[in-house]
Amino acid sequence: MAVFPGKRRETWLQHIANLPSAFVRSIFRHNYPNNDVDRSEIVFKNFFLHFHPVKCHRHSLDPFYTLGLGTITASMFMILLFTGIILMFYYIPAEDRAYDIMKDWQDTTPFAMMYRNMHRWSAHLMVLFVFLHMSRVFYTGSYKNTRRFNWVVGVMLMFLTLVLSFTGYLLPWDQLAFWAVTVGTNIAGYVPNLPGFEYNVNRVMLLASNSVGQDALIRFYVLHVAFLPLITGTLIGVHFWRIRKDGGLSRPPDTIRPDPYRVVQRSDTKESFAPGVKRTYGLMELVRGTCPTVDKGPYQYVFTWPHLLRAELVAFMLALVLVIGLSFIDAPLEEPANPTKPTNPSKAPWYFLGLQEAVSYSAFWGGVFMPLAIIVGLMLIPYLDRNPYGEGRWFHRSRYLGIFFWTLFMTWQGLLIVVGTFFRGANWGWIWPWTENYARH
Amino acid sequence: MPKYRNSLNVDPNDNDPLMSRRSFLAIVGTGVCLIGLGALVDASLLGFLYPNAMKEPPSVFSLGRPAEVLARDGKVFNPKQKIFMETNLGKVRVQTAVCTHLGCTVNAVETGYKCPCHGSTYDRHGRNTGGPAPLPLVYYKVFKGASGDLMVDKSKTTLDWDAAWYPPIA
Repeated sequence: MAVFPGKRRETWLQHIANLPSAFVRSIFRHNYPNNDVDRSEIVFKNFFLHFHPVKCHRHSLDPFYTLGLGTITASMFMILLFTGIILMFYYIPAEDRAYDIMKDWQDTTPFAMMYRNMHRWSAHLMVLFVFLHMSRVFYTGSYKNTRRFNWVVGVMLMFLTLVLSFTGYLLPWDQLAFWAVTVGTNIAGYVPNLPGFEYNVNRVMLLASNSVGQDALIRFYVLHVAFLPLITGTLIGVHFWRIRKDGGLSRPPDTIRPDPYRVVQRSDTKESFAPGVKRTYGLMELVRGTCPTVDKGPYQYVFTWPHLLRAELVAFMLALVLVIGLSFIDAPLEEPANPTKPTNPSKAPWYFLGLQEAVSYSAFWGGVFMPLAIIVGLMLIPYLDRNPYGEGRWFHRSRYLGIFFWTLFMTWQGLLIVVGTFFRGANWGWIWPWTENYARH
Repeated sequence: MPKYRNSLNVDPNDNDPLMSRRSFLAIVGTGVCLIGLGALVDASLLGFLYPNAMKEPPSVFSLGRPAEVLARDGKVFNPKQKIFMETNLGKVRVQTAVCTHLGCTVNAVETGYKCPCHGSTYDRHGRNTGGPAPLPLVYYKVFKGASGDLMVDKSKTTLDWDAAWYPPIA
């Protein structure tokens, strides 16, 4: 019987000759992925790829299903992290320095404006793509069944994106920044106070004071550069993790051959459930049958390398090209913060103009109650929607009512934004955009 | 308690408690500790982020010498203190310029005041007439300080526009 005698001891010469390949091998635990084994190993054994599944369903790669919106949003977040850290090398969160540094960037620092513009544009685009992604998820019914809580995580991420944008545009400490802090923290002041506090605790915890100043700036800075990105990054990780655990992106059940069941037998109950579309992990779980299938993977699954990674790269490059292209348009910088007088009209960035329009009717109902109701309402959607159909299909017929209400809701928000942007002039009075006293922010 | 916890042959009638008393007590104990720790962190953060002493501008400030102040006529905006100082025939009164809605500085217009941020409107006495403003603009008490200057006390407010004049009209 042939027994492997162990590796033959190599001579020094052989050792040195093999050193380059041994060195490469010490870094990468797999060969170049030109075969299925290495294609799975590269995803399985590489830290940066291992949050991907080894194989993913063909349907998830359909660009007309996802439109790449989630990946683009995540790409925006990565661009924001990179450009944000670059900007931190110069920025000082001091009342009397912040604005000057921003202003000086225009003349003194090569590429500073490029990075600032990229940061600003990707922030705007991230807000936009969050809402587009959210609409895609709603219209395809992807929040149903096992993915219910991931929708809730997504709503949290939407909220965090908006708060990150808010804390971000305060940092230049120009007129927009100063009056946005003033208005924003006063809205926080309408949230009911805790008993026993002299001043509204919500407001004071943001401002560290009763008026907007240096103490507020450093708080918003810490929130923007450390606290919120950490939470957001973690939640993005949870969001992705849950996609995998929920069996990949939502899709309709396969019509030709049913997906292999993965039968889970809970240990302490007699319940065994096979929740339909599931990702499969072990070889013995790949297919359901009386004997193992040989030479066949799960139906309609393709390797992540290169298919999924290529799709992600395309989405990322799209995001990057978009941001770099837009970065030729300079991010605005208003006059330095003037605590005595706001500009007239004083307008927030577009994504908050709906809120500003709502607040211009009532501070509590428009600024506290409505946002809270919207967030809670959004989180409740997957738990109130009892329609089991339409998961993984765009505009399923049985969901016409939900689709109608969602479209109505988004149109309403869009209308508020349009009104706030184009129909509000001096002293937030109603104007028509074609009149000559039209002053847009 | 079934003999083999991971066995599939669990008898539904054997009164399996699903969790032993020991595990239950351990989880409750750990949970209480964690909740207590969380409460400690929360309370300390609340205290940490809510300072005991805040930088406050003094609530009393000077308008100037009475002879100079009362010699003027008309309504002037004082940007440093965010007030409107109205002088009329040797009388002066001082009104806040901070919108009662969300704290922007209002502009004086023909009809009274208007806020540039959310469109609150006030009449010439500072009563809120439209927009989201919930309260009228208050008048501050004016008095003659020990130095002889005309002083304003922002902590003493009134809504009575006749009583706000200094010297008081009889």
